[in-house]
Amino acid sequence: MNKSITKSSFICVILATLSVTHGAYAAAPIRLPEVVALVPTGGLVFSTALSKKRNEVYAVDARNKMLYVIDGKTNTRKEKATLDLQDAVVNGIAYNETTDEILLVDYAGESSRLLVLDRKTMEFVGSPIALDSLHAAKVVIDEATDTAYVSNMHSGTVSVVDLKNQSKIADIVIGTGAPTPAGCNPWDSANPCTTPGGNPLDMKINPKTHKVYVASYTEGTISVIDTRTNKVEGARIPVGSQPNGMGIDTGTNRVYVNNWQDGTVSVIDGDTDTVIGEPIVVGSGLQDPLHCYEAGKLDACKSWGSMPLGPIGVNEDKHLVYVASSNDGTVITINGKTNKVVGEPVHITTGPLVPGGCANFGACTQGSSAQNVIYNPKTDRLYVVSLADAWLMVLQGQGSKTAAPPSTHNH
Amino acid sequence: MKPFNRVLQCAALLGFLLATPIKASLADEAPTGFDGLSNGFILQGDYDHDQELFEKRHTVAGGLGPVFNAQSCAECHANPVAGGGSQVSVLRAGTFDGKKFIEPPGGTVIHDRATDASLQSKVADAWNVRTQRLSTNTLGGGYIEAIADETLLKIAKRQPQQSNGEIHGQAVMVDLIEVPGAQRVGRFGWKSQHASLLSFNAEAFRSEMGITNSLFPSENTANGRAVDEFDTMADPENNGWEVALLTEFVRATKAPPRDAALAAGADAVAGEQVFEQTGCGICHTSTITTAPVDTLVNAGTFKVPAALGDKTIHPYSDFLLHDIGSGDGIVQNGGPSSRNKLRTAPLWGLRTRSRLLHDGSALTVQQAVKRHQGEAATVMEQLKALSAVEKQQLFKFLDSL
Repeated sequence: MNKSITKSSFICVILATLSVTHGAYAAAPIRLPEVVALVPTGGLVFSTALSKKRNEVYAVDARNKMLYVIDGKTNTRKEKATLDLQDAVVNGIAYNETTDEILLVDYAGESSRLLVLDRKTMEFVGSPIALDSLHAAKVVIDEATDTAYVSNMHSGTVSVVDLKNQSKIADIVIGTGAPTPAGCNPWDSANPCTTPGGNPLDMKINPKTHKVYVASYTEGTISVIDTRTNKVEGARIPVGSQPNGMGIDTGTNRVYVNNWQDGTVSVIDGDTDTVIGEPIVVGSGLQDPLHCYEAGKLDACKSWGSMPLGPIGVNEDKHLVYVASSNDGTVITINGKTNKVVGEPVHITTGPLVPGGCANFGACTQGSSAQNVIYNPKTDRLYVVSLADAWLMVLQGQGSKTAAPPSTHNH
Repeated sequence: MKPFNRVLQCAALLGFLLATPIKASLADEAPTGFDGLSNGFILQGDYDHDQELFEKRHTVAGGLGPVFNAQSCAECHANPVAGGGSQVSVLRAGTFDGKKFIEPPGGTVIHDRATDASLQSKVADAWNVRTQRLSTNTLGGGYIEAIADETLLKIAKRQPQQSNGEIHGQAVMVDLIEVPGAQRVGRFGWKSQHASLLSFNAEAFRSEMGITNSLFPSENTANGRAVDEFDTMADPENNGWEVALLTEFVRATKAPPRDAALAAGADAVAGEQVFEQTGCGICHTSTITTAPVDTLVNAGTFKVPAALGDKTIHPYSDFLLHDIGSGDGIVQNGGPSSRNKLRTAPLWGLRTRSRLLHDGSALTVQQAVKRHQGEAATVMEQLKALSAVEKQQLFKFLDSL
């Protein structure tokens, strides 16, 4: 027998064995989320936040201007804790695990404000913090430095707020900055803008790397703020069209970005702050024809695709990424190890939006938009808004169903 | 030396002194280069991203047309790098009835391309004013935008003194499209028809590519005929974000560099003296300093940043309108008297152009120089009187630009 053939065969056997072993490991089934409860919110909830310490979810009802506190154990509203926000128009919300405070971004009036709420008493702490900005949107907290970052859509900035002294300490310009001309309002036809500016919307903080990632909604980019210098670090990261929600896996240092009009999720390597691979197509996917939304007409698209919307939930233990598809009314699972969609989407609404793409035009006749995923690692619960249904859906991250195992045949 | 020559020499010296701002020695030289690198206004990664937009090929689905001239900015502005000029020209036409200029239906731009054959624009035989205009260089545009109005007005004011009243550049006050009611000295386009890069780019986006935007929300027409039937997108087709990033790109471009080896040569150095002494530099202003950092320009909408402010540039242009006998007969913002006037062609980057003058009708620098008449008549006399060596030196200098 030829020695080299024998040697090759032996190596092949070893490799095949390793392959099977590896395949068996890789094929460990991924369990998909499963709906376990439904919490009626009674209104339109655009923003949610999580307290891991208290096992509570906070939901702001924009229609009724109420702040609901949802008990993570019973999946019911704590009615006694419900707070009437009165004149405040709250968009962003975040919970400070260290101070047990809830931060609320109020964009009512001519200048936005940051409100600090003591969770224990449900009373506001101090005076509202003036941001001197237009249409503040979202807020994240750097708990290590007791600093908040607030995105100001119509000012094109992120405000840095010293929570200890309850004062704004800096404004950081995002993208091309403020819309022009000064004082215009992109949403007011009587006072239109000629350029929309950076339009910072969603943000996520990675406390391990001291970075805040800011989505520039109109410019299709992500800016990175170094929390140690409070300056934008490096060039903007081009992603897809109208990025509006993010999630971070701090274990792998990957940032996931919803590209609303593309039907995709971009993945950013947090080490290099560059995009990895092609955007991941989620749910019913891309628009047909591509970017047909740009036509500004409801009938311009044969298909509006999935239109993933709002923050992304991340299970850092299992590196699973959960994305809400606003058009499909589903939650989609991405395997963060492979950056591929796994299993079937989980329906969480009364149905997909009809007509598709109607969310762009406020012309929906049926269905409900799924949006804003948050994940509680302590309880393995996902919380997803079903907007028109006025529900907050509760899902078990590791549900009873598994995704079909990936093929072990790579060829 | 002839008396006028002496006057000119004196004027040239005076012009040189006046053209050299007091702060020139303090102002940093603006960075130059055909290297695709940011001038520091934005980070290189952002520049690269913006350049992709500048080079992006637009389609009907993205708002292109229905009538247009090009599918991307870089289709016309690309030589030798994105943002430069090119041989691509735009067709313009109209009518002069002996007293006044009359715009044709749909405006003076005659679009060469359309998404449907029925929309093809053409020049009517009755229109007796016809011209082509080469795509201009946009490199270094951020520095031009950062020049204070006062600087250009001063140049205009001193030109008659420098030339016995023969040269009198017209500073055209033009509307800032982004600030209704506000005006500024025009400086972009062959007729200095725009004063800000945002205005200039937004109009190009609509006029050249047919993509309506917040500043120019109405579609081009096909010789005045509506194109609605073939327009698939609601207007404005772009809410301005793309125009804003394109403007950012142009602001971040470096100024065109000189050919360092040629410029260092004895002939080019001497030729530059000849250029100034003969009065060429009265209009082709060699040195301008941009406004101080943090100056608010464009009616307060743009604060001059450190990368663009207090910079010495060498555009070899006054950005004013002059009649040198090569005018195209079109009236835009400058009023009836500007019919045959054109903006002084900036000579930075001259060596990258194969066709010269506004219509590309001069194919050599010598030919372009010879075509100067009108306000340039006396300067031309000076040039004719130059010795063969001086002429050689002059053209060597021009070759270095």
